[in-house]
Amino acid sequence: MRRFLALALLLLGAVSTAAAQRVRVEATLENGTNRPRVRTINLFDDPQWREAIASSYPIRLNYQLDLWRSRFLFAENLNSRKWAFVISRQAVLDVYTLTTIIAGREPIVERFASLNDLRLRIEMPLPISGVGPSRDGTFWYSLKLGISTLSADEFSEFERYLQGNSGGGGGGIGAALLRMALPKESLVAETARFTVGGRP
Amino acid sequence: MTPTRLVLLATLMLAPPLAAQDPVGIDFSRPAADSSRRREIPDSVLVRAMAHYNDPSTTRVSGNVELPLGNVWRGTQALHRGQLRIDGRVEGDLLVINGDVRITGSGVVTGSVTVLGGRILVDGGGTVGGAQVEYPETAPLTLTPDGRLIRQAPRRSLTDFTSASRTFTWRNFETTLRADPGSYNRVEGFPLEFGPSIVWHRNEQSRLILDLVGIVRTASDPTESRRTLGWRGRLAVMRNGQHPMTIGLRGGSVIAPVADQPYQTIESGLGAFLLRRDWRDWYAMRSIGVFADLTLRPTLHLSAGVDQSRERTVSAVDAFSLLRGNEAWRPNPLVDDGKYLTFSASATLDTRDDRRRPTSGWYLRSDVRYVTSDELTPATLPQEIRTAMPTSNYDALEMDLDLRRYQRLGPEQSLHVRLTGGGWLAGNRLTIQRRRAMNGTDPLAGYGFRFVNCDRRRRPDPALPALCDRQLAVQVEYRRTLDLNLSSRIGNTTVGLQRPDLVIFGDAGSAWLAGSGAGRVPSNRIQSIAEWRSDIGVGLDVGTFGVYVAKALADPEPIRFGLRVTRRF
Repeated sequence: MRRFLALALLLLGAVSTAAAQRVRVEATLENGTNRPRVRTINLFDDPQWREAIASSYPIRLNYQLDLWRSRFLFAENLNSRKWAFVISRQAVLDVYTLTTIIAGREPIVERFASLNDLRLRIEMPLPISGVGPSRDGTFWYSLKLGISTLSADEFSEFERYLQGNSGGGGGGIGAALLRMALPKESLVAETARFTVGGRP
Repeated sequence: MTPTRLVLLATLMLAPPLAAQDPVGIDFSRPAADSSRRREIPDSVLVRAMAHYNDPSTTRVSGNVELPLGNVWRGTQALHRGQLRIDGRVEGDLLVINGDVRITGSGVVTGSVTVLGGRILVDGGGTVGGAQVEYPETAPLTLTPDGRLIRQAPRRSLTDFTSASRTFTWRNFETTLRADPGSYNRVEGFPLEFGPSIVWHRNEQSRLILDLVGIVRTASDPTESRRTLGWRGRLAVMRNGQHPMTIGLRGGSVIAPVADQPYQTIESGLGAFLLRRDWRDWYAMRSIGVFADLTLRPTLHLSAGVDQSRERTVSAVDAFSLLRGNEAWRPNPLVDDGKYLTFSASATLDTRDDRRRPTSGWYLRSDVRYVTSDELTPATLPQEIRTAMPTSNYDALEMDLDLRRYQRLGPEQSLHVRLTGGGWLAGNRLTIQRRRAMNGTDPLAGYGFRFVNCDRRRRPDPALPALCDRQLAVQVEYRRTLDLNLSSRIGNTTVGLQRPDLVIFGDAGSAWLAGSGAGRVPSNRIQSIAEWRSDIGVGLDVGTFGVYVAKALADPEPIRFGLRVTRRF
């Protein structure tokens, strides 16, 4: 009996360890405001993504944040915002880069000397501005994250895009990167509901 | 959070290790940047870089290179396409073309460091004696086979992959030679299209475009109803600014599809080439006209045109198809030959989040056409289909409408609704090439091709022409992404099913003859809903293609299976 208990505990431990290693995404509201915050956790604890980045395979994270309003029959989707992160490692320089892609904007490239620095940046809660409701009602945000790797061709295009050779912020590979890729992993999260104005 | 992580986090926030340009966070309230303001590498810098690189005394390397600690390079060093890590010492200047350089804490460069198409990273302790010049934009330079650095012609865009093209630039003129297979059909075979597109960039605000396309038809026509060669062209002035506008002339001698066009162009071409099923009818058109396009907002587009055309019947020929080569092609129906003057206007509102795979937003397209003719030779149709047509003083007003709503119901599900229709509004009856039908598969997946085509003759035309005055259809579909991954990666290519969409749909629609008389629907009404055809079905859309099964609700039609290489709508 004791052996069964030990085995069960061991299995539970294994399961919980495995669960802890899965990438997660969180969508929360900032304290005292209706501003959403997005957090991606354990990305590099997941062996498939850790190995991909170690092997210099670029990783793409496609985010889609939707604002929903409670309605009688079904919820109303008020707006939908997309952005993407592309994480890559330049093996020779031993530098990690995080590129933020937003439609119509110049890409933002951040560089990190170690994976740990990059992990801290990725796991920091990311406040999202300019997406809030402009009317009264009960609302919430839903977040969809698709994670995939970039093929060699896509990465070549992506590098050219970064260097301004593929049509600027809105078109070409930039727009393609903002579209949800066929993800290897797809995660969703929702914030708590909040009310704006006196009448829900 | 442990103290160590807190210290690391604070360090990151206060002084990010390697230049985080923006504070953490995403602000969608900021206006979009003007991408045209990207900093280009000045011509003088490119010229200097080429001179340095091509100088015989320069040491040239390419690819990923490391200079280890304790090693010394002397003289000017140049790297093309790659990454350079300097742990050692460079006594001289350093030039990197389309690559990055990192000078580590032990690295020293006594001269200047110039990076075109990349970035310079200097760690704490790293030394650069001279100037640091950095242009992240790709340097438009390339190597010749003998290793000289020269200017590069502009690169093709991603959308050009379906056609072969080559672009040459001379001063402000950009010439693109293009070749495209066109859409396969039973009248032309492959209409091979080729020709130049010349763009004169007059200034930042305007450009002049001349497109000339020659067409070679691969299938021979023993009836000589059309020529082997065709052409089309366009001369236009484009003006940028807050409301981009294009005005121009257009013309051509082409084989054009009639108004009734089930399926997308690519599906029609594939059906004809592979299965000997050409879902469109064709006529020969020679035309010349003027047009104007105006973009009022990124989501709102208006256009108008006036065209004079000569239109006439062409025959289906014995074009090749991969399968069913022994079957005869469906004949190409007669059209009303004549010389037409067409005034057209269209408006498009498109607020969809993604044009390829939309999940939210509106799409509205409306076209109105006023067609006149003083030289008309109409084909004979029975009175119960069309009243007698004049041979001069002909005029008719018609319109098309396509209204769609994409409504997201959740992160993985959405509801799509479409109202589509078109046809006669006023004036004389429509010519055959402008008439409609209610088509199976697209939009009604549960029915066959031109299930309602208004051909009331005792012996219907085997060409199955679309002969209705009006057509209207409603489509509703619910999509849910399935968390299903049946794929594997072979090299860089993913093969298999990845998160397909389950599609549950219903369609209803009809086509009818308008006017007074038996079997016609009064002009100011639509056909009674009770007489509409309807179907329900289910499908699986994997992105590149979708498979569907549908059943007609009222008619004893068999269950129909369909394969689409584009979205239903």
